[in-house]
Amino acid sequence: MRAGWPAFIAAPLVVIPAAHATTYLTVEKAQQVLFPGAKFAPVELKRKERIWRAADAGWFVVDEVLGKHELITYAVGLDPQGRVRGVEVLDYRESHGGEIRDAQWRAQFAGKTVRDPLQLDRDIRNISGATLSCRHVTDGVKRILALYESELRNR
Amino acid sequence: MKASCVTARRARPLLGTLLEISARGRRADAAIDRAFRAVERVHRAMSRQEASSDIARLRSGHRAALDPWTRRVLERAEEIRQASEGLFDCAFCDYSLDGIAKGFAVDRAIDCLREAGMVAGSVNAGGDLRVFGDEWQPLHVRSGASLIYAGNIRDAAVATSASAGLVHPRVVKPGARGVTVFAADCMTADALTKPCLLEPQRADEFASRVGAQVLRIE
Repeated sequence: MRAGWPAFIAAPLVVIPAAHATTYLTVEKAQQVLFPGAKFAPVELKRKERIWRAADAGWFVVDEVLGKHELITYAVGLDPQGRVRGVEVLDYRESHGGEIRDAQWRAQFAGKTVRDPLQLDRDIRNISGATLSCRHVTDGVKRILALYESELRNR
Repeated sequence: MKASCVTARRARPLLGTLLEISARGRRADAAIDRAFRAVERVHRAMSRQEASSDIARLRSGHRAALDPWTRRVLERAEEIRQASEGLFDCAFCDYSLDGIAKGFAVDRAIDCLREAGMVAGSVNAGGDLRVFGDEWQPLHVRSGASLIYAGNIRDAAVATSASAGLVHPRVVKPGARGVTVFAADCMTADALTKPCLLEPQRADEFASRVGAQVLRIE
Protein backbone atom coordinates (compact mmCIF):
# COMPACT_ATOMS: atom_id res chain seq x y z
CA MET A 1 0.00 0.00 0.00
CA ARG A 2 1.38 3.37 -0.99
CA ALA A 3 -0.20 5.76 1.48
CA GLY A 4 -1.31 5.53 5.07
CA TRP A 5 -4.57 3.81 5.86
CA PRO A 6 -7.53 6.11 5.16
CA ALA A 7 -8.63 7.24 8.55
CA PHE A 8 -12.21 6.64 9.58
CA ILE A 9 -14.02 7.30 12.83
CA ALA A 10 -17.28 6.87 14.64
CA ALA A 11 -19.68 9.62 15.75
CA PRO A 12 -22.94 9.80 17.73
CA LEU A 13 -26.32 8.90 16.29
CA VAL A 14 -28.19 11.67 14.58
CA VAL A 15 -31.40 11.77 12.58
CA ILE A 16 -32.06 14.86 10.47
CA PRO A 17 -33.97 15.19 7.19
CA ALA A 18 -31.91 14.04 4.25
CA ALA A 19 -32.10 17.15 2.14
CA HIS A 20 -29.27 19.29 1.07
CA ALA A 21 -28.55 22.16 -1.22
CA THR A 22 -25.34 23.31 -2.79
CA THR A 23 -24.69 26.50 -4.67
CA TYR A 24 -21.71 26.10 -6.95
CA LEU A 25 -21.82 29.30 -8.96
CA THR A 26 -23.92 32.44 -9.15
CA VAL A 27 -25.25 33.42 -12.58
CA GLU A 28 -22.63 36.18 -12.82
CA LYS A 29 -19.79 33.86 -11.85
CA ALA A 30 -20.90 31.20 -14.32
CA GLN A 31 -21.01 33.83 -17.08
CA GLN A 32 -17.39 34.68 -16.33
CA VAL A 33 -16.37 31.01 -16.22
CA LEU A 34 -17.93 30.30 -19.63
CA PHE A 35 -17.19 33.67 -21.26
CA PRO A 36 -14.22 35.25 -19.42
CA GLY A 37 -14.34 39.02 -19.48
CA ALA A 38 -17.53 39.21 -21.57
CA LYS A 39 -20.48 41.55 -21.03
CA PHE A 40 -24.03 40.22 -21.18
CA ALA A 41 -27.42 41.57 -22.25
CA PRO A 42 -30.58 39.78 -21.11
CA VAL A 43 -32.96 38.57 -23.82
CA GLU A 44 -36.70 38.44 -23.02
CA LEU A 45 -38.44 35.52 -24.71
CA LYS A 46 -41.30 34.66 -22.30
CA ARG A 47 -39.85 31.23 -21.64
CA LYS A 48 -38.89 29.46 -18.46
CA GLU A 49 -35.21 29.59 -19.39
CA ARG A 50 -33.29 32.76 -18.64
CA ILE A 51 -31.30 33.88 -21.67
CA TRP A 52 -28.45 36.34 -22.18
CA ARG A 53 -26.53 37.36 -25.24
CA ALA A 54 -22.78 37.60 -24.78
CA ALA A 55 -20.82 40.48 -26.28
CA ASP A 56 -19.07 38.06 -28.66
CA ALA A 57 -22.50 36.98 -30.02
CA GLY A 58 -22.54 33.76 -28.03
CA TRP A 59 -25.45 32.82 -25.78
CA PHE A 60 -25.76 32.06 -22.10
CA VAL A 61 -28.84 30.15 -20.95
CA VAL A 62 -29.89 29.23 -17.41
CA ASP A 63 -32.42 26.45 -16.96
CA GLU A 64 -33.66 24.04 -14.30
CA VAL A 65 -34.26 20.31 -14.46
CA LEU A 66 -36.27 18.29 -11.99
CA GLY A 67 -35.25 14.72 -11.31
CA LYS A 68 -36.81 12.16 -9.00
CA HIS A 69 -35.24 13.65 -5.90
CA GLU A 70 -33.31 16.60 -7.15
CA LEU A 71 -33.65 20.03 -8.67
CA ILE A 72 -30.67 21.21 -10.66
CA THR A 73 -30.08 24.71 -11.98
CA TYR A 74 -27.48 24.74 -14.70
CA ALA A 75 -26.03 27.09 -17.28
CA VAL A 76 -25.11 26.42 -20.88
CA GLY A 77 -22.79 28.59 -22.91
CA LEU A 78 -23.24 28.51 -26.69
CA ASP A 79 -20.69 29.94 -29.11
CA PRO A 80 -21.89 32.23 -31.95
CA GLN A 81 -22.40 29.14 -34.16
CA GLY A 82 -24.68 27.53 -31.58
CA ARG A 83 -22.18 24.93 -30.36
CA VAL A 84 -21.94 24.06 -26.68
CA ARG A 85 -19.06 25.94 -25.15
CA GLY A 86 -19.55 24.56 -21.67
CA VAL A 87 -22.05 23.43 -19.06
CA GLU A 88 -21.83 24.40 -15.40
CA VAL A 89 -24.11 23.46 -12.53
CA LEU A 90 -25.22 26.51 -10.54
CA ASP A 91 -27.42 24.98 -7.83
CA TYR A 92 -28.20 21.51 -6.73
CA ARG A 93 -31.01 20.68 -4.29
CA GLU A 94 -31.68 17.15 -3.22
CA SER A 95 -34.49 15.83 -1.06
CA HIS A 96 -35.07 12.20 -0.23
CA GLY A 97 -37.92 12.54 2.20
CA GLY A 98 -35.83 10.11 4.12
CA GLU A 99 -33.41 10.61 6.91
CA ILE A 100 -29.81 10.41 7.82
CA ARG A 101 -29.10 7.21 9.61
CA ASP A 102 -26.16 6.33 11.68
CA ALA A 103 -23.95 3.65 10.21
CA GLN A 104 -24.85 0.43 11.96
CA TRP A 105 -22.00 -1.25 10.23
CA ARG A 106 -19.60 1.11 11.83
CA ALA A 107 -19.08 -1.69 14.30
CA GLN A 108 -17.14 -3.36 11.52
CA PHE A 109 -14.51 -0.75 12.20
CA ALA A 110 -13.96 -1.83 15.78
CA GLY A 111 -10.24 -1.88 16.35
CA LYS A 112 -9.53 -0.19 13.06
CA THR A 113 -10.33 3.42 13.86
CA VAL A 114 -7.51 5.84 14.17
CA ARG A 115 -8.97 8.94 15.78
CA ASP A 116 -11.25 9.91 18.59
CA PRO A 117 -14.79 10.82 17.56
CA LEU A 118 -15.29 14.37 16.39
CA GLN A 119 -18.39 16.41 16.77
CA LEU A 120 -20.73 15.65 13.92
CA ASP A 121 -20.39 18.06 11.09
CA ARG A 122 -23.93 18.67 9.83
CA ASP A 123 -22.69 19.91 6.52
CA ILE A 124 -23.68 17.17 4.08
CA ARG A 125 -20.74 16.65 1.81
CA ASN A 126 -18.98 13.67 0.31
CA ILE A 127 -21.96 11.50 -0.49
CA SER A 128 -20.83 8.12 -1.76
CA GLY A 129 -23.04 5.74 -3.67
CA ALA A 130 -26.07 5.22 -5.89
CA THR A 131 -24.83 7.13 -8.85
CA LEU A 132 -26.69 10.29 -9.40
CA SER A 133 -27.62 10.46 -13.04
CA CYS A 134 -26.84 13.54 -15.07
CA ARG A 135 -29.35 12.41 -17.70
CA HIS A 136 -31.75 15.24 -16.86
CA VAL A 137 -29.02 17.79 -17.39
CA THR A 138 -27.86 16.27 -20.68
CA ASP A 139 -31.50 16.14 -21.86
CA GLY A 140 -31.84 19.77 -20.80
CA VAL A 141 -28.78 20.75 -22.86
CA LYS A 142 -30.42 19.09 -25.90
CA ARG A 143 -33.55 21.16 -25.31
CA ILE A 144 -31.46 24.32 -25.18
CA LEU A 145 -29.82 23.41 -28.49
CA ALA A 146 -33.33 23.04 -29.96
CA LEU A 147 -34.25 26.39 -28.42
CA TYR A 148 -31.22 27.90 -30.16
CA GLU A 149 -32.35 26.50 -33.54
CA SER A 150 -35.93 27.70 -33.17
CA GLU A 151 -35.56 31.02 -31.37
CA LEU A 152 -32.00 32.29 -31.14
CA ARG A 153 -30.17 31.40 -34.31
CA ASN A 154 -31.80 34.10 -36.46
CA ARG A 155 -31.95 36.87 -33.92
CA MET B 1 -5.30 32.06 5.86
CA LYS B 2 -4.13 34.45 3.17
CA ALA B 3 -6.76 36.61 1.60
CA SER B 4 -5.97 35.08 -1.77
CA CYS B 5 -6.61 31.55 -0.51
CA VAL B 6 -10.19 30.73 -1.49
CA THR B 7 -12.46 27.72 -1.54
CA ALA B 8 -14.26 27.02 -4.79
CA ARG B 9 -16.71 24.28 -5.60
CA ARG B 10 -17.99 23.45 -9.07
CA ALA B 11 -19.95 20.69 -10.79
CA ARG B 12 -20.37 19.59 -14.38
CA PRO B 13 -22.18 16.71 -16.05
CA LEU B 14 -19.35 14.29 -16.84
CA LEU B 15 -18.77 10.52 -16.85
CA GLY B 16 -22.54 10.00 -16.80
CA THR B 17 -22.90 11.73 -13.45
CA LEU B 18 -22.57 15.10 -11.80
CA LEU B 19 -18.88 15.50 -11.23
CA GLU B 20 -18.17 17.77 -8.27
CA ILE B 21 -14.76 19.28 -7.57
CA SER B 22 -13.86 21.51 -4.66
CA ALA B 23 -10.53 23.08 -3.89
CA ARG B 24 -8.99 25.42 -1.36
CA GLY B 25 -5.95 27.45 -2.30
CA ARG B 26 -4.75 30.31 -4.46
CA ARG B 27 -6.44 30.48 -7.85
CA ALA B 28 -8.71 27.60 -6.92
CA ASP B 29 -10.97 28.13 -9.94
CA ALA B 30 -8.08 27.73 -12.36
CA ALA B 31 -7.03 24.53 -10.56
CA ILE B 32 -10.57 23.19 -10.86
CA ASP B 33 -10.61 23.99 -14.59
CA ARG B 34 -7.46 21.88 -15.01
CA ALA B 35 -8.98 19.06 -12.99
CA PHE B 36 -12.11 19.07 -15.17
CA ARG B 37 -9.89 18.87 -18.27
CA ALA B 38 -8.16 15.78 -16.85
CA VAL B 39 -11.54 14.13 -16.29
CA GLU B 40 -12.57 15.02 -19.84
CA ARG B 41 -9.41 13.31 -21.11
CA VAL B 42 -10.36 10.14 -19.23
CA HIS B 43 -13.90 10.43 -20.58
CA ARG B 44 -12.68 10.73 -24.18
CA ALA B 45 -10.22 7.85 -23.85
CA MET B 46 -12.30 5.38 -21.87
CA SER B 47 -15.96 6.05 -22.51
CA ARG B 48 -17.98 3.26 -24.10
CA GLN B 49 -20.09 5.87 -25.81
CA GLU B 50 -17.26 7.61 -27.64
CA ALA B 51 -16.67 5.87 -30.97
CA SER B 52 -13.09 7.18 -31.12
CA SER B 53 -12.21 6.03 -27.59
CA ASP B 54 -9.57 3.50 -26.59
CA ILE B 55 -12.37 1.05 -25.81
CA ALA B 56 -13.12 0.82 -29.53
CA ARG B 57 -9.38 0.26 -30.18
CA LEU B 58 -9.16 -2.48 -27.56
CA ARG B 59 -12.16 -4.29 -29.00
CA SER B 60 -10.48 -4.37 -32.39
CA GLY B 61 -7.19 -5.55 -30.86
CA HIS B 62 -5.23 -2.33 -31.47
CA ARG B 63 -3.15 -1.56 -28.41
CA ALA B 64 -0.46 0.55 -30.06
CA ALA B 65 -2.29 3.88 -30.08
CA LEU B 66 -3.71 3.76 -26.57
CA ASP B 67 -3.60 6.79 -24.31
CA PRO B 68 -0.90 6.09 -21.67
CA TRP B 69 -3.63 6.65 -19.07
CA THR B 70 -5.64 3.78 -20.55
CA ARG B 71 -2.56 1.55 -20.19
CA ARG B 72 -2.32 2.46 -16.51
CA VAL B 73 -5.96 1.57 -16.00
CA LEU B 74 -5.53 -1.74 -17.83
CA GLU B 75 -2.51 -2.63 -15.68
CA ARG B 76 -4.33 -1.92 -12.45
CA ALA B 77 -7.42 -3.73 -13.74
CA GLU B 78 -5.27 -6.82 -14.27
CA GLU B 79 -3.86 -6.59 -10.71
CA ILE B 80 -7.37 -6.34 -9.33
CA ARG B 81 -8.56 -9.18 -11.54
CA GLN B 82 -5.88 -11.33 -9.93
CA ALA B 83 -6.59 -10.10 -6.41
CA SER B 84 -10.29 -10.91 -6.91
CA GLU B 85 -9.57 -14.28 -8.56
CA GLY B 86 -11.24 -13.22 -11.79
CA LEU B 87 -14.36 -11.61 -10.34
CA PHE B 88 -13.26 -8.21 -11.62
CA ASP B 89 -12.63 -8.71 -15.31
CA CYS B 90 -12.77 -5.96 -17.92
CA ALA B 91 -12.25 -8.37 -20.82
CA PHE B 92 -15.37 -10.23 -19.74
CA CYS B 93 -17.32 -6.98 -20.11
CA ASP B 94 -16.05 -6.44 -23.67
CA TYR B 95 -13.27 -4.16 -22.42
CA SER B 96 -15.65 -1.78 -20.77
CA LEU B 97 -13.61 0.17 -18.23
CA ASP B 98 -16.74 1.62 -16.63
CA GLY B 99 -16.02 -0.18 -13.37
CA ILE B 100 -12.62 1.41 -12.88
CA ALA B 101 -12.17 4.46 -15.14
CA LYS B 102 -14.37 6.71 -13.02
CA GLY B 103 -12.16 6.10 -10.00
CA PHE B 104 -9.09 6.72 -12.14
CA ALA B 105 -10.59 10.02 -13.35
CA VAL B 106 -11.11 11.08 -9.73
CA ASP B 107 -7.45 10.30 -8.99
CA ARG B 108 -6.22 12.34 -11.96
CA ALA B 109 -8.41 15.29 -10.94
CA ILE B 110 -6.96 15.11 -7.42
CA ASP B 111 -3.43 15.10 -8.94
CA CYS B 112 -4.27 18.30 -10.82
CA LEU B 113 -5.46 20.03 -7.66
CA ARG B 114 -2.31 19.01 -5.78
CA GLU B 115 -0.01 20.03 -8.64
CA ALA B 116 -1.75 23.41 -8.73
CA GLY B 117 -0.74 23.88 -5.08
CA MET B 118 -4.18 23.50 -3.50
CA VAL B 119 -4.04 22.91 0.26
CA ALA B 120 -7.21 20.83 0.29
CA GLY B 121 -9.70 19.43 -2.14
CA SER B 122 -12.26 16.83 -3.00
CA VAL B 123 -13.56 15.18 -6.14
CA ASN B 124 -16.84 13.25 -6.24
CA ALA B 125 -17.93 11.39 -9.37
CA GLY B 126 -21.37 10.18 -8.37
CA GLY B 127 -20.17 8.27 -5.37
CA ASP B 128 -16.57 7.55 -6.24
CA LEU B 129 -14.84 10.20 -4.22
CA ARG B 130 -11.49 11.24 -2.86
CA VAL B 131 -10.46 13.97 -0.46
CA PHE B 132 -7.09 15.44 0.50
CA GLY B 133 -5.84 18.07 2.92
CA ASP B 134 -5.68 18.49 6.69
CA GLU B 135 -9.41 18.84 7.25
CA TRP B 136 -11.55 15.98 8.52
CA GLN B 137 -14.60 15.81 6.29
CA PRO B 138 -17.93 14.06 6.91
CA LEU B 139 -18.73 11.07 4.74
CA HIS B 140 -22.27 10.00 3.85
CA VAL B 141 -23.21 6.79 2.09
CA ARG B 142 -26.40 6.61 0.05
CA SER B 143 -28.57 3.60 0.77
CA GLY B 144 -31.98 3.55 -0.86
CA ALA B 145 -33.85 6.64 0.28
CA SER B 146 -31.55 7.28 3.22
CA LEU B 147 -28.17 8.75 3.75
CA ILE B 148 -25.93 7.03 6.23
CA TYR B 149 -23.49 9.22 8.08
CA ALA B 150 -20.42 7.03 8.04
CA GLY B 151 -17.88 9.07 9.98
CA ASN B 152 -15.21 11.55 9.00
CA ILE B 153 -12.45 11.01 6.48
CA ARG B 154 -9.16 12.67 5.63
CA ASP B 155 -6.84 11.87 2.73
CA ALA B 156 -8.99 8.95 1.66
CA ALA B 157 -10.61 7.46 -1.42
CA VAL B 158 -14.08 5.92 -1.15
CA ALA B 159 -16.34 4.11 -3.62
CA THR B 160 -19.81 2.68 -3.09
CA SER B 161 -21.68 0.30 -5.36
CA ALA B 162 -25.16 -1.12 -5.04
CA SER B 163 -25.84 -4.65 -6.18
CA ALA B 164 -28.74 -3.77 -8.47
CA GLY B 165 -27.85 -4.67 -12.03
CA LEU B 166 -24.54 -6.34 -11.28
CA VAL B 167 -24.19 -9.74 -12.92
CA HIS B 168 -21.41 -12.28 -13.25
CA PRO B 169 -21.52 -15.85 -14.62
CA ARG B 170 -19.95 -17.29 -11.47
CA VAL B 171 -22.36 -15.64 -9.06
CA VAL B 172 -26.10 -16.29 -9.03
CA LYS B 173 -27.13 -13.50 -6.69
CA PRO B 174 -24.94 -10.90 -5.03
CA GLY B 175 -24.84 -11.39 -1.29
CA ALA B 176 -24.91 -7.75 -0.18
CA ARG B 177 -27.13 -4.80 -1.06
CA GLY B 178 -24.15 -2.59 -1.35
CA VAL B 179 -20.54 -2.15 -0.36
CA THR B 180 -18.35 0.81 0.40
CA VAL B 181 -14.63 0.40 -0.21
CA PHE B 182 -11.87 2.58 1.25
CA ALA B 183 -8.47 2.64 -0.43
CA ALA B 184 -5.45 4.86 -0.92
CA ASP B 185 -6.59 5.69 -4.45
CA CYS B 186 -10.04 5.89 -6.00
CA MET B 187 -9.27 3.61 -8.96
CA THR B 188 -8.66 0.74 -6.53
CA ALA B 189 -11.72 1.56 -4.44
CA ASP B 190 -13.94 1.80 -7.53
CA ALA B 191 -12.79 -1.49 -9.06
CA LEU B 192 -12.91 -3.41 -5.81
CA THR B 193 -16.58 -2.68 -5.11
CA LYS B 194 -17.62 -5.18 -7.80
CA PRO B 195 -15.92 -8.38 -6.55
CA CYS B 196 -16.82 -7.41 -2.97
CA LEU B 197 -20.49 -7.16 -3.94
CA LEU B 198 -20.40 -10.45 -5.80
CA GLU B 199 -18.79 -12.39 -2.98
CA PRO B 200 -19.21 -10.31 0.19
CA GLN B 201 -18.09 -13.15 2.44
CA ARG B 202 -14.66 -12.91 0.81
CA ALA B 203 -14.57 -9.11 0.50
CA ASP B 204 -12.04 -8.61 3.31
CA GLU B 205 -9.72 -11.12 1.69
CA PHE B 206 -9.85 -9.40 -1.71
CA ALA B 207 -9.48 -5.98 -0.14
CA SER B 208 -6.46 -6.87 1.99
CA ARG B 209 -4.58 -7.96 -1.15
CA VAL B 210 -4.72 -4.43 -2.58
CA GLY B 211 -4.48 -2.49 0.69
CA ALA B 212 -8.17 -1.61 0.91
CA GLN B 213 -10.95 -1.98 3.44
CA VAL B 214 -14.62 -2.85 2.91
CA LEU B 215 -17.91 -1.99 4.59
CA ARG B 216 -20.98 -4.02 3.71
CA ILE B 217 -24.35 -2.30 3.53
CA GLU B 218 -26.89 -4.90 4.57
